[in-house]
Amino acid sequence: MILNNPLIRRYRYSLMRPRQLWIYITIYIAVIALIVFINYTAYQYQEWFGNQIRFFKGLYYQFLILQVIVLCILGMLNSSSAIKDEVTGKSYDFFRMLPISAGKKAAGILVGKNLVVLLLGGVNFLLLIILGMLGRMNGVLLGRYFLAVISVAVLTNSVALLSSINPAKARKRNNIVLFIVLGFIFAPFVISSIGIAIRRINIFENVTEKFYTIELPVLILISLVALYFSCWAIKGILRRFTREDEPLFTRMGAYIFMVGFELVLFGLFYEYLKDGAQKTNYLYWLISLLTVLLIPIWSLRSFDRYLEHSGLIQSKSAGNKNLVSAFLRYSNLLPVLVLFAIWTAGTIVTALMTGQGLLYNLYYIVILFSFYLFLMLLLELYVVYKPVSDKIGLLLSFITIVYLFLPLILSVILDNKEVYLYSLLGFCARILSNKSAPGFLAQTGILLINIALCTIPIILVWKRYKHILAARQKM
Amino acid sequence: MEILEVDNLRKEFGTLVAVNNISLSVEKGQVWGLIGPNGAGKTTLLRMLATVLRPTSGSVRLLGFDLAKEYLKIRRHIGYLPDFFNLYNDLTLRECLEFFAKAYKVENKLIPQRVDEVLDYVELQSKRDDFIRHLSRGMVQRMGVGVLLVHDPDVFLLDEPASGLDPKARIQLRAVLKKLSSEGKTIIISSHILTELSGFCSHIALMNEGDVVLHGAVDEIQRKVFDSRKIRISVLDDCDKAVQLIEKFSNTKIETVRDNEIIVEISAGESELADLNSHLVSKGIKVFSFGEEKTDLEDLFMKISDSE
Repeated sequence: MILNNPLIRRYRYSLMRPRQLWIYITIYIAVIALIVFINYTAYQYQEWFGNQIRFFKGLYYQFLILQVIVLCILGMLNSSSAIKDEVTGKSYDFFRMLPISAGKKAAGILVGKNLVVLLLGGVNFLLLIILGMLGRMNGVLLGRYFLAVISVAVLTNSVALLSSINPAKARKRNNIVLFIVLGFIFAPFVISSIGIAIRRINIFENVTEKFYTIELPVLILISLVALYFSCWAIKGILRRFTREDEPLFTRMGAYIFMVGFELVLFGLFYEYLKDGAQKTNYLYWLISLLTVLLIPIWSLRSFDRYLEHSGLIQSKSAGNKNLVSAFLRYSNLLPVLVLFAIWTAGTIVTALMTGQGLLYNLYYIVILFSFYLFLMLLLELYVVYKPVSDKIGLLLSFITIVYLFLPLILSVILDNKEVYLYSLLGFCARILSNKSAPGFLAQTGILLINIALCTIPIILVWKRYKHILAARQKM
Repeated sequence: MEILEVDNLRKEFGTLVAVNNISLSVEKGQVWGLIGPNGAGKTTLLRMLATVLRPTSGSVRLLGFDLAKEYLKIRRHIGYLPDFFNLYNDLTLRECLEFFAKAYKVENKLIPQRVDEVLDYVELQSKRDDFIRHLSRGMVQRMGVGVLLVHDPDVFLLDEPASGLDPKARIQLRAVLKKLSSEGKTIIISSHILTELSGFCSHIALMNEGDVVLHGAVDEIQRKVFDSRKIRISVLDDCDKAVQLIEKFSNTKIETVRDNEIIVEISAGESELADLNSHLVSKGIKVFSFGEEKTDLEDLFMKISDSE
């Protein structure tokens, strides 16, 4: 059924020509021959492995890493280049016009563009089964490894494709920024998994982690989390293919994603939060805060959309007051507030779970909100001033960097132990550190400075909102 | 039969109104030329009709399907050739056509035959196993039309199909387009090079700054824009006598006389024209050709632009 997809046929034509396929196969054979040769030499002459079973087991893990490289890294590069190739090759309009569903397009690229990768991965899987059997490895464990590799490969490939569906930017740059951003989100899961894996590699069969109260093998947990986020990535791909000029998230989609992320993160942290560890509580806060900072970027409505919508509300609205409130509800500032409210709800739950004083934590939440609000206002400034100046992004990026790093630098230069708290990074580092909490006065100082800083973008954004409504009336 | 109905279609890009509440209706078999200077909104209009650009407001029904809701169905029935395009350079012509045939759900057993027919149609049969990257620009442009033909669309949307082509490639492409129009296909074609559209457009829509300034059948618009008709009369001999007779006829004005050929401007209907013809013959003039001189689109465009 899936091979009936016309895009897979198109990629089969271009990628599976014998004259280029043999190059991939030759490289692959050379790589596996080299791995086997090195290991065999070590086994035969250096007695590294001790016995034959350990030799095959060692080879199994190396082939598993090769499998990750092939499916995740090469696959990711292929998936992320599909749309870019269409745009730079000037065939993107034909691609968009294809009368096939968004799902078929996504499947066509993810499978078709990776035909060679899947071919090599398939051969590698067969070798892994043989090596696993020769290494007398537990069949269930082998199955879990396969599931983990496949689910992580689905995640990396779908995220890579999703991040590449932005034809306006496809010509200009790679999607490194998004990868870094996504890397930040998934880093805790990945790093902790790798950490556990490295520590307990010999007894991997028995490694389990709790998700809420359910005890799961860690490989299954990794797979499930990866598949959960893959579903979101695929949902995003479908949206991008059907509504390319709209933000990745709808309002509701952004809220549901945030709630879902909180629930997954909470499930992973549940066992540790129950133990009442204060630092775990703040770690949870900051990981989910990062998501609250990113989701507004993915659900950002543009200046053009503001103009369009203000036209629509003007035709419906009776009075100017209604018009302004309707416009504010449509603006990017509303989801910023709602997302922070969702974050706050999660933080209150974890604070209560860890048995920390709610009032004490509420003040932290207010301060973090002031940091967050300033950054979000800068983002909104970018939206409303972009039509005025192309370079506004550069200026706002500079301000953001100064805002985040200047207090850290000043703290070192002035040898002051409190100044760094005026940076979001410094503040987060402090609450995660073993040092005592910042004093009430210091915290109030941060809050006041942030409120003062927020007033400038608020005025500028408000002016632009009024300008949009006025411009619309003239159109 | 109405095939396309555009109602108050509008597209804004920020404060720029690229297409300003356009309403049009196109019937089956009509060939519409979208004429206008660069920036008139032709491409934006075509891209909206081709479902690749979301309108700001307004509605479009194409073959009875709603553009906003049933765009996938619409895509199966239209063939859109963008202004700047390329095809898959890593495929041969045959592979490329097979891919599009498959995507447009042409029955598997019919695909080889369809590919052959299309390659013959666009006169690229000899290149069928060549890679697209080895084709000249003109050939790619013809192949672009071929890609559309592979699923035999009901409506062709062609955006400046001949731009950037050399004269020979332009003539070859024009021949393909003429063939399409003579087969009764519904075509909407945009161009700012008017000679490209002359001869095979049945209707025109003159666009300027996002508005359709004037639209309708070419003959109708000619009649609206030009008060009089141009008649070309060829006589075997006695040209001077013929000129005298014509001058005496009411509402006529001689424009040129050359080599027994007289061009006359006349403000009259069909029966008066017939009267003039029979009048000349009755006075012993040997008329061997008597016909209306079709106004070139270029003249029409200039006339409309001047009056604007």
